[in-house]
Amino acid sequence: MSQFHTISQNPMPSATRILQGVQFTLALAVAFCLMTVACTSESQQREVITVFAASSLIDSFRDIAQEFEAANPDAEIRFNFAGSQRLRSQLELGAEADVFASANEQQMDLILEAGLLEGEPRYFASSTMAVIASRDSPVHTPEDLAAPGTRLVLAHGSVPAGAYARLVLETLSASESGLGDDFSDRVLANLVSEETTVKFVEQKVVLGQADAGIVYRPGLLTATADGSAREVSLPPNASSVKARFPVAVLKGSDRAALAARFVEFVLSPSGQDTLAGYGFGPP
Amino acid sequence: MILLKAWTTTAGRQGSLLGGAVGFIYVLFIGLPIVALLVRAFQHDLFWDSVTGDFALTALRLSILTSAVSLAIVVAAGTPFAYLLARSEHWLARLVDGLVELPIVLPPVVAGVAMLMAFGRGGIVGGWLEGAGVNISFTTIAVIFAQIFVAAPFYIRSAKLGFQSVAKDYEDVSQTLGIPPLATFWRITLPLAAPAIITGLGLSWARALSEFGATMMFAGNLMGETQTMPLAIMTAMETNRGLESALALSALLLIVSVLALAVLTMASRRRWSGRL
Repeated sequence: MSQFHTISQNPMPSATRILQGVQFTLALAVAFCLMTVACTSESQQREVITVFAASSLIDSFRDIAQEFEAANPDAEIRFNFAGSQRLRSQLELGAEADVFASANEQQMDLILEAGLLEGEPRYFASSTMAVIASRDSPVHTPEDLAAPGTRLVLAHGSVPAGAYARLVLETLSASESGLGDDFSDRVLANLVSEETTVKFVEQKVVLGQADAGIVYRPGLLTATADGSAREVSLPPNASSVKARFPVAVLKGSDRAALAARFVEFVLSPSGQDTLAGYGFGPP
Repeated sequence: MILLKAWTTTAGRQGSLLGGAVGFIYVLFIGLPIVALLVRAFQHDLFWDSVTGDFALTALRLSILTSAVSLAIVVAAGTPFAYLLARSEHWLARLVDGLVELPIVLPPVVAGVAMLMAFGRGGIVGGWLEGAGVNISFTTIAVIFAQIFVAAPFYIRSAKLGFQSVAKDYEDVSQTLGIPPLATFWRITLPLAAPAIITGLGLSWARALSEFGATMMFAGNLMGETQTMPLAIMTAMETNRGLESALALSALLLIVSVLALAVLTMASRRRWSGRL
């Protein structure tokens, strides 16, 4: 009898429970759908633009985007930060973006030649190059860069920061700085790795994996601010090498007007102030 | 009953039809990118110049050298270890057994950071090594370290399963007949476990050859020292007009891998089927 009861009675509650479960799931699904619809309609109200920017701009451009979004509540900026050469390669292979901010002229020119630009590129910032050394690094003077056993990390020659760094070394070799004609060759003989973005150079030095590297001044300032790295001063003529950063609206942008407004914002006093705060020079 | 049989046959036919269709789509999905890669690579005029250039050959030489050394170390150390894991009932062995496969699920970039923290400058072991004048990060040794870290589990897992498939009775009988343990291992256990070991060799070598993330993090990227084929392909891809060079290097790596795996499979079949 008791067995009969278990058989006859138990299916009822469990059936109810299953039904309740189904109802609950349905309710959840409906709620989820409503939420998705709500979110979609919200982001439809907000115009989204995608900015491809050189990785040296990570901190400053995030700030600028926040200020831009505060001034334009209907706008949203999404970023793709990488070495300018990688961004250029992605754009050439069909990546969709609205704005391209490069760390040198060469990568921007290639995009221009590929017919991918909407407007003319405009320079918005500049930077000198600086030598960054790890806290316990044996590198204290430029000459130490050429000392046997120094572990030097640079960006690859195809990366803007890598090209500028080599230019600095050549400038120092050619000048009356007393470092010698072969200074560049001696320093490059100490190269242990060629990184794909200047951020990896900073990181390897800050982590102490490398003794020294050559980076943009803003990157150096961020890394030295908390004492995790220090600067090795270069002779004054090293600052004749100036990195120049151009920005442009890309062809095929669905939101060209907003993209142009973002470019204007970068060039505006507000944008320029932010960039200067990170150590960038005027264009 | 007949009805049921007819139904199952129809279902079976429909099933195999569906399987065939899905299989066809899958083969296309995998095959198309590989065909596209080869077609685009060979189309280019500079293909031959690219694959015989200094850049490609230096990277290829380094890739083959490092993956060969890694595989040799993995086999030398991994074989007895896998045998121990297959035979031991000790709780410690069971625990280690679970940990061995960890690198398979670990993202390679995480593996690279972890290796930096251990063997890099100021790392747990690296700091001590540096005091002794030994430096690992940014050297070819770092490339080999990274490859062993990510590739060894594939060999150990496969070899362990191979040893487990050999009944302990065979070894016992052999030893009762007076054959010493090492000879028993060599003449009985190893040939019987060979198919699984060969599979492990192939998987492990392929993983070492394709290693990218951990190498970039831990070993860096310098031609002739640490720039293996995958890093060279990435570097070429980012250089202006480098797509053709990247395609040529990719095709080269693909061909070398397929050839090596084919030779390995054929050699193993001939050798071991002849013995058994």
